Amino acid sequence: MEKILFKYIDFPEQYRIDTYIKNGGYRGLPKALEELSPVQIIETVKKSGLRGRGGAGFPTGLKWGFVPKDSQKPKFLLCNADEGEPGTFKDRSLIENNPHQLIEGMIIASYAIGAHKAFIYIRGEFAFGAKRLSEAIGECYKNGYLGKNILGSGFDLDLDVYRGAGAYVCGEETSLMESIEGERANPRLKPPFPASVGLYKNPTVINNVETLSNISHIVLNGGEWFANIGMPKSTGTKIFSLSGHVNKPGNYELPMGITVRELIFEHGGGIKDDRKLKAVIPGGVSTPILTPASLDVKMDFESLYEAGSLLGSGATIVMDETSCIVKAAYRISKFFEHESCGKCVPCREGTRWIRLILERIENGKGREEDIELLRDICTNIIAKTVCPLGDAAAVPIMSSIEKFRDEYEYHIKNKKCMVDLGTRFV
Amino acid sequence: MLSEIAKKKISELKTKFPERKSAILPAMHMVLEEVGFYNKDILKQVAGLLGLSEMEVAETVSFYTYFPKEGVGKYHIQVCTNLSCMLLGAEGLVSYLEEKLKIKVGETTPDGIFTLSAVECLGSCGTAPMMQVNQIYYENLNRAKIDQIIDDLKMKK
Amino acid sequence: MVTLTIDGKQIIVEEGTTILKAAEKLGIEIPTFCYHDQLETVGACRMCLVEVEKIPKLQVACATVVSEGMVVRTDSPQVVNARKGVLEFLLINHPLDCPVCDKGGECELQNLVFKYGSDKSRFVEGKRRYIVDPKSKYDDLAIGPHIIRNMNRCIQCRKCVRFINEIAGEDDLGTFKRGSKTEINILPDIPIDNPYSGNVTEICPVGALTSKSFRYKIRVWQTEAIPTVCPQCADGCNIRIWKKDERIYRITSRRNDEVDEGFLCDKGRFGFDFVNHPDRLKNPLIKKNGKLSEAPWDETIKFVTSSFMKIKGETGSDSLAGVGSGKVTNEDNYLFQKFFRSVIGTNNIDHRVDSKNLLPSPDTQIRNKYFGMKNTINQIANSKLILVLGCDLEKEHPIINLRVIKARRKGSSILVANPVSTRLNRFAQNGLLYKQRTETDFLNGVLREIIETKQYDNAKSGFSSSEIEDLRRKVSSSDSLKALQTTGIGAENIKSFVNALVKAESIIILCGAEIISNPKNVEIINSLYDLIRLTGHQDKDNSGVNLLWKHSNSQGTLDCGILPDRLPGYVRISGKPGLNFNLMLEAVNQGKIKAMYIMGSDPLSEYPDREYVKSTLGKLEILLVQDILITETAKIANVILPGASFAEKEGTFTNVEGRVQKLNKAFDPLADSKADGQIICLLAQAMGHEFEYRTPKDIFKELTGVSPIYSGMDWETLGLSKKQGKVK
Repeated sequence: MEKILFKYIDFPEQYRIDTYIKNGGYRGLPKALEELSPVQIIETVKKSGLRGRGGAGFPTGLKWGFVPKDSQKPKFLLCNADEGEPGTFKDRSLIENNPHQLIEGMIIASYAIGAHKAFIYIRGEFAFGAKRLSEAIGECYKNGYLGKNILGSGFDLDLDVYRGAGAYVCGEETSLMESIEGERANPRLKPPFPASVGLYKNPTVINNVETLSNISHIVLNGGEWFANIGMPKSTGTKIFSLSGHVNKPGNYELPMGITVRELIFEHGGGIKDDRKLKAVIPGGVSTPILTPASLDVKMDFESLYEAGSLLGSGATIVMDETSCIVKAAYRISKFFEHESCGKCVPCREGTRWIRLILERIENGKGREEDIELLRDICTNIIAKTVCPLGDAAAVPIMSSIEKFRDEYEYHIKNKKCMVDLGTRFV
Repeated sequence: MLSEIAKKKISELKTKFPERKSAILPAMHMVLEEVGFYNKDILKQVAGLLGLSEMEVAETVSFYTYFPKEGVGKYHIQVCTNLSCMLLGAEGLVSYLEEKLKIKVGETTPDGIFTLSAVECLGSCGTAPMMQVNQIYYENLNRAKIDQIIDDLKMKK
Repeated sequence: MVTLTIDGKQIIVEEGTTILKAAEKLGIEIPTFCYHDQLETVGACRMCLVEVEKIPKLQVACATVVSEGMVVRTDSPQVVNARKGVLEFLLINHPLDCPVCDKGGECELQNLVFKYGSDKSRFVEGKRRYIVDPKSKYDDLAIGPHIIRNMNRCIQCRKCVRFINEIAGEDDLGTFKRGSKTEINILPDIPIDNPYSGNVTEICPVGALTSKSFRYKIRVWQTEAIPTVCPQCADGCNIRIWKKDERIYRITSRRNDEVDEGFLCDKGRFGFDFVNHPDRLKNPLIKKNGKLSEAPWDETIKFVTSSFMKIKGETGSDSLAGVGSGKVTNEDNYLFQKFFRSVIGTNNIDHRVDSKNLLPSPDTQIRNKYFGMKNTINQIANSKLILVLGCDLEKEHPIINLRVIKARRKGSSILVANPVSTRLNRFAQNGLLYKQRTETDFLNGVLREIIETKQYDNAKSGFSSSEIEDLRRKVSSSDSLKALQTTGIGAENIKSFVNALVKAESIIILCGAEIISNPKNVEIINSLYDLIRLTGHQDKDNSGVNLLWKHSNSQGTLDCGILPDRLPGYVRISGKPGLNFNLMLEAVNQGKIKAMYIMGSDPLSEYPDREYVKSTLGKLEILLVQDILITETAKIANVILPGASFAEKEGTFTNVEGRVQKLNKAFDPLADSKADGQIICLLAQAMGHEFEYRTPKDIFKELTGVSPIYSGMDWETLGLSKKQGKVK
């Protein structure tokens, strides 16, 4: 299959506007501005079946359609480039290597929703990516792709890079808006939803980098073309960030619906050092863990949900037989405690408590009752928090107990890991 | 502490966004670039330049972990220790750096050159283990690479 | 309207109502920590999660708006478990130091744990501590002159910070860091010291923020709460006195949405030291041989009344004069004027000792210009423009100030014009500083701008063209133009000021002490009425000119006839009026007034010319001062009678908006002091008059019979219902 987003990812200087244009870039934009009305673009995106690549999988066209058309308020488009879900590194690559693909998608999306101001919210650590984007935006202004009267269409758009500053929760859309507004990035209650009350209380659409990078291709090739790739309800390709104990870690753009096995063994070159596979986290650390029994599960929104996990960001973390699940869970719990914003009680208090218990078990001071206690704490967090961070913190712990209870029990009983971890640093 | 140019740039941010508070993070990025850290006085100065209260600036800045406070070394080494990196030896990397720099995580070398931190995922999981020194990423690390990097940084001082 | 079912009970509520409010109407209590109806809803504590049919996740009742046919359960096992879960989360790091926590007994966390919590802790890890001093086990931190913070007890509902930001418009308390390290704090070295800081101790659901003055003094349940009214200013906030025996331990708010919306200023909350002050007058004092010495009541009464009778007999009733006070109750003041009018037989009665420039007395039939407030306190928050003139509102009327801040939050424009900048200026769209005493010139400039630029509302103003022309001629005269130069306000400022005024849909003008005691007070008020008319706002809701009196019962003192030319209820004196305070002083100097009875006032501190008043009062044969402390005036008196403080008596105060509110007695008058009304009765009785009242209720009943504006008011329900006790 031909790659869409990654076709030119390794092409020399693809980040420059002339290279991008030479390789077929900025063709979707004139088509959108000259031949299509905003409504037609939204229809095209709806037809494509494109769903949000940030993790939630919400249909993109539908989201755009929620923006009130008759509102006199200014509208905003936001690109969520706060890539922070551990295991995920696809957006960074799209930004650093092909920024114009994203920008082109953003101009089209802004035109479709009637926004004249757009921001790319990029995590603070991606200093290089932010620089690349700023340079690319500069090229766009110079070449008439941004600013007033874009390509003579009469459409105006200003695009800015807004740098985050080390807060995973900003990946949650309302936190991201709070962050741009200069507030402490606590998520807002929903409703109202961003489409009606978003950035600066104005109608706002927020999409992930990968989602927006698809737009120019969809506009250029049509919704049906995209819908024919992948699975019926999970269309198109997906960039899978493969990491952990595989021979060839990296980003792989593959059609939705390839199996876990194909990803790890065909594309990722199998498990490092010919060890045995123990577990796979398929969508970033916030998604439920899978065992080798799930190797033939297809990687798309529906199939992974049915298998008891989630596609999430498509970040696939592979753990071989020498990995300790308890230790992995402990590490994940530390992350979520660190990233909880503290606004709501179950997340603020629960993430810390989970970490403390896992730390104790990891340090050989676990108690038999800790396993049920952990499950109870997770239950008291799941579906009870303001934003999805609570679930993200609790669900992987819950699933690790479900799938690898024996490891927990071993750890508690023997006060040490079931496996010999050794050191991997050479 | 801030240069006149930085002051001017920061006060220009005041009108860049629909709301002044939006300029806090961009201003702090400028502070990081210019000074490398922040302290109480810098926050006060930023607030003044943006026409905000000290409290508004301090509350917001305290939420984020990216901006180092005063006392950070010239080179802030941040090692990702999250899952993917951990699976590929991040702990060994941290120990090696501790050994090499003769400091523990969270500490700064007596000469003020290096600060060592263990941090959350930096979005470089496919090239684990990795670390960030100030704004630069170093990936697929091993002992040899670390030796080289640290030596280079020491040379630059 | 929307029909929904909560716990099997159907209810019809207005669209936009939250589940929490709908449940409240049904008497179903849904527990909350972070919810406060005056603050923006944040939905953070997750205590109010309820089950809504057809929605898989539990929903927060505080923020979920009802919809037609919605079926809600607040008592299902799922809901109860969620509550238990939240409480467990809140308790794991809580120090559980209830025995030494000041909030014990009235802590919302304690109460809800009592109801839903488990008696078993499953938390075996180390509790989170916010260490203030590593050498101490305690983490109490003084974050301001009144407030102690203990972060370990904090449940991070952030109601304190939200109150400070949203209601008080301050930012000396904030939220720092994030996640499980989130901390409520001040900036280093900048204490929380705004006039409303004490509210955070009351709004805090736990013992995280407690008040310095109440700390460790007593357990809450050993005190008794007495509902009463704040004596500090004319706003009339409803309060509770928490007392044991004859001591006030603290004061908290007693929410009345018409008046205070549940908030107090720090002066009202913490400024009660005078009640239990060691310097309180405990016995009557008579000056003998130039020295004040204690005397028994009967001897003192006899001395005073015989002196009064002697003077009355020798030089007539008008040789005596009475000065009442806006700091004592209606009942005290009513009796005071009755004593002078019927026992002494003079109209030499006044209470306005703080100004040489007195406003004309109002009339009973019309709420005229000099009445006080035309609007209610609540209307202030609804006005689209508020002009504060000659008033340091935060200092003079802190709770009205909060309404202005509220209006500002709702998008209203605030204009402030004062001789000096006030703290309210930070919220002002326009904050003008005029040179003192140039108010009329400034206002003429404003009126001229409106007229000359034809920005007045011709139809609504009701002005005839000749009236407009007259006004134009007056404000456009060369004298007026020249005078405008002296105000220190430039033409551009007048223009933008006028621009805001003519655009506003409603205008409320608030005038403070600077205007009321101004030499040109009448002229200023007339100009303001012209302004309201010109802009077309006369007789409109949420618009009008308001004079803000100073004392807790200034309005009532006027209402009760402590005026030389008005009986209670502003009934005109049929014959010759008595002397006002300025004229009384003249009469003293002329030897015409020989005795003065001053109740609750302190002219030596309040009158603009202290030396003049001191030397004048020194000439009196008898100067009787009745007060609770040795005031400056008391120091030169021949006789001092010890009155009772507001906490020691029953009665009513009429607040600045004309709301008659009841004071309740917390404890008996200190030592041998007596309630003011009771003292007056003793004097009257000694002079052979009946003055038989069992309680202040009897006096109030008589007042409602005499005063047309108080008629129909019912003592028993005063202050209980909205309509009750509001001056007609």
